[in-house]
Amino acid sequence: MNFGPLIFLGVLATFVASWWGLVFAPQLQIGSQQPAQVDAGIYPTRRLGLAEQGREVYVANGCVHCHSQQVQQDSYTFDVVLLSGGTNAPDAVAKVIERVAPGVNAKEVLAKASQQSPQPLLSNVTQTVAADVQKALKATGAVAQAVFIPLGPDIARQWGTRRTVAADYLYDYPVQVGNSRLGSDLSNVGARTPAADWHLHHLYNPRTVVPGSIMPAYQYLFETRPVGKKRSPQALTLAEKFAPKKPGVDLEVVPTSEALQLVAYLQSLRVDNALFEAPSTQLAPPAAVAGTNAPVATNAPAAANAPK
Amino acid sequence: MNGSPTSPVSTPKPAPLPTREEFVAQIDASCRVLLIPIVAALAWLLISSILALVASVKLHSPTVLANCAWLTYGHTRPAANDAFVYGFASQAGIAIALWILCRLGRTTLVGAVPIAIASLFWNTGVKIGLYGIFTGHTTGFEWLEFPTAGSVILIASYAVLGICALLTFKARRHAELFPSQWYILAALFWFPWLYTTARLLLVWFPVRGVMQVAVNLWFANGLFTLWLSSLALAVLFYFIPKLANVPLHSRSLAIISFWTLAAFGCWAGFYRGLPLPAWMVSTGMAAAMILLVPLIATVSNLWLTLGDGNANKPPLLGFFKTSVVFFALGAVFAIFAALIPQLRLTLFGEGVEQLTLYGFVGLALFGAIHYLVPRLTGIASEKFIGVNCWCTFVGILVYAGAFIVGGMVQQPKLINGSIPFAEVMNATKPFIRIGTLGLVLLVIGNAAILLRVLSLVREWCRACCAGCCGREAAANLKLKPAEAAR
Repeated sequence: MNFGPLIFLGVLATFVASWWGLVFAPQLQIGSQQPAQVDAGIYPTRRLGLAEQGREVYVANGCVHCHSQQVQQDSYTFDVVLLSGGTNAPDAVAKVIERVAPGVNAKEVLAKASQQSPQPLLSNVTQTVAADVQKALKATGAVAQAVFIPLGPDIARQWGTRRTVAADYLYDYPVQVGNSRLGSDLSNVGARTPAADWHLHHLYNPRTVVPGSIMPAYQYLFETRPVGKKRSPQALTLAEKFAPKKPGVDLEVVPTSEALQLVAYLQSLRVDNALFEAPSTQLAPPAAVAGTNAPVATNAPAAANAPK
Repeated sequence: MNGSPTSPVSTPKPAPLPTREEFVAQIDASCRVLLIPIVAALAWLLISSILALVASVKLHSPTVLANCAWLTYGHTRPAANDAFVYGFASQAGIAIALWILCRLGRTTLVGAVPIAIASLFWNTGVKIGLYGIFTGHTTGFEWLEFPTAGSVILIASYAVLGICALLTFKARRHAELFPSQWYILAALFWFPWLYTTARLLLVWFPVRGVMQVAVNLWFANGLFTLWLSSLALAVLFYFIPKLANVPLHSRSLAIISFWTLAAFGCWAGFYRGLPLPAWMVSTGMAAAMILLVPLIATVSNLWLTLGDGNANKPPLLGFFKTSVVFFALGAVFAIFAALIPQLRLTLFGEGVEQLTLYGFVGLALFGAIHYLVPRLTGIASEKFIGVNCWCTFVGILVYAGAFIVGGMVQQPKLINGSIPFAEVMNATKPFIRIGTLGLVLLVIGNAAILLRVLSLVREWCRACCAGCCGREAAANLKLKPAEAAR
């Protein structure tokens, strides 16, 4: 340890090793990842126009210092839904259903399934159980579907329908994953709160829509000016408490182009599709949407993506 | 074997040998140029803590200064961090490292003029970088926010400082290397490698997608564990045996801690839940655990050295002792942050960062500056040391402590999806308020050390002028050489 060059070589070797391991190796693994073909087309796609300009506003204002863009997932579970009772004798099917899904009123479910599907059979089961039920029902001619359900606090808060994976960030630069959750996670804010008006009011003064919020007001992204001949259609509708006041002048608050860009960017943030490596369900679990007939199409790809 | 920095000099020259005291005074005089980076670093330190205070106030009173785009939280927070790391810690760290290289190598400083010029440029780089952050020209990557103009100046001026440091190292007249020198030598290379690699891969030829996250976290972790920690450890390994007046307890332990830190230091930094390949996160968590080895080796080595020392210990030792304790706490908490779900994303993450920055790196550098500046200027004064010491110590405990406890309160709420997020957010408020109090103390402490150094420099200038102009000599203010050599 008294020889400078020896220390230099050792230090170089350890540094290069860590670079090799944590930069070069993952670069080989995921550095040239390409967008995937999903049901809705190609995912992800580049942001365009206002949303892309808004990304720059987001970066410039350092939003990343409070808001993360990473959805974490603790575990997953499966639900089983009945898509169709099939054409066989309902009694035979009902018998099987009663066996595999005790506690379910089989006849009622079968009757309902002919009008509205899917009908919930089982919830919160393991993948093996779900597959067995599917198999047993298939033998009777009925069609059941195992639905993949990601679990975790982030998903419960609707911060995303699934965990985020490398593919979600392919076209982001700089990637704003963030290390702080002083504010809520924004990965899915475009799907969670799509209204532009809400975002504009929230940016002007977060307390207008979220009482007690600690988010700074971004009033410099808005122009406060006297009302001209007519009130601008873009002007915010602010409660008395939050409206800017100047005696004798009627003021209005109008978003600047930066505010509009930022909102377009926020609206573009969504993690609500299913990927091969990160399957998901729709935001509401199937049991809750059983009253509508929409989820068949949306659940099917999710379940198809579930690990077999 | 134990290379004590206080062992007598054996110069082979036949010329009339200067006494040891004269020789040390000669070395210190050659290092006077380091007052430039030290004063500048302390100015950045004060600016950094004021910016952090503004950021902290904004978190619990978001309407304060809401119309000022420059001072929004998203600007003040990164500006405070970068001013601390690049303005204060790196700059002061390099200056102190240069002085340690001179003292341990028994040689005078090489390249005083280039160092002075490079320091001025380094500060220009920090200024441009902070201006970039305030005006929204950040790169968007944590710890690398400076826009290209600022960072290029930093790299160029670092090259000059680094080369001067290497030349000083090369010119040493004492062949045996002390652990401080290993850390300094390694850090001198680690920083430019880390910084330029990260800039290249993130800003100049950016990698795609989450690879940016990988590179950014790799850099951020390296910046802390390799660069800042090495500088601070060099200071601790130098000053603790010196002030306790005993040789380092065990050189073998120091070798173990140095090489395990070098080998695993750069592998940590990834935490649970990141959208990275799972093996990277596991590697990061494993490395965080392995870093306990250098931690235990270093802390026990330094602590045993303190135990070996005589009872009569100079008060400055308190800075270094406390720094060791905060080093240990910060490293252990960093393991929790990597392993416990979402803990890194709460106030805890920031609390641990600040604990490491102020408690470990900051206190070590403060102690070194308090020791160094009187010897560079030749003026003895104890003014403001107490204020700096206590305000910084209590300030860190309050600030980092509030954030760490706040994070522990926030985390169980954050991982319970049935609790609305507004409630999670509200839970943080009291802790942020307490943190603001801690920051007020840190601002006072930082102002105190800046004032002390400025007053010493002022006295020195006066004494110097008086000497030059032949008026009353301020000799009574001057430190006696024997005292200086201690």
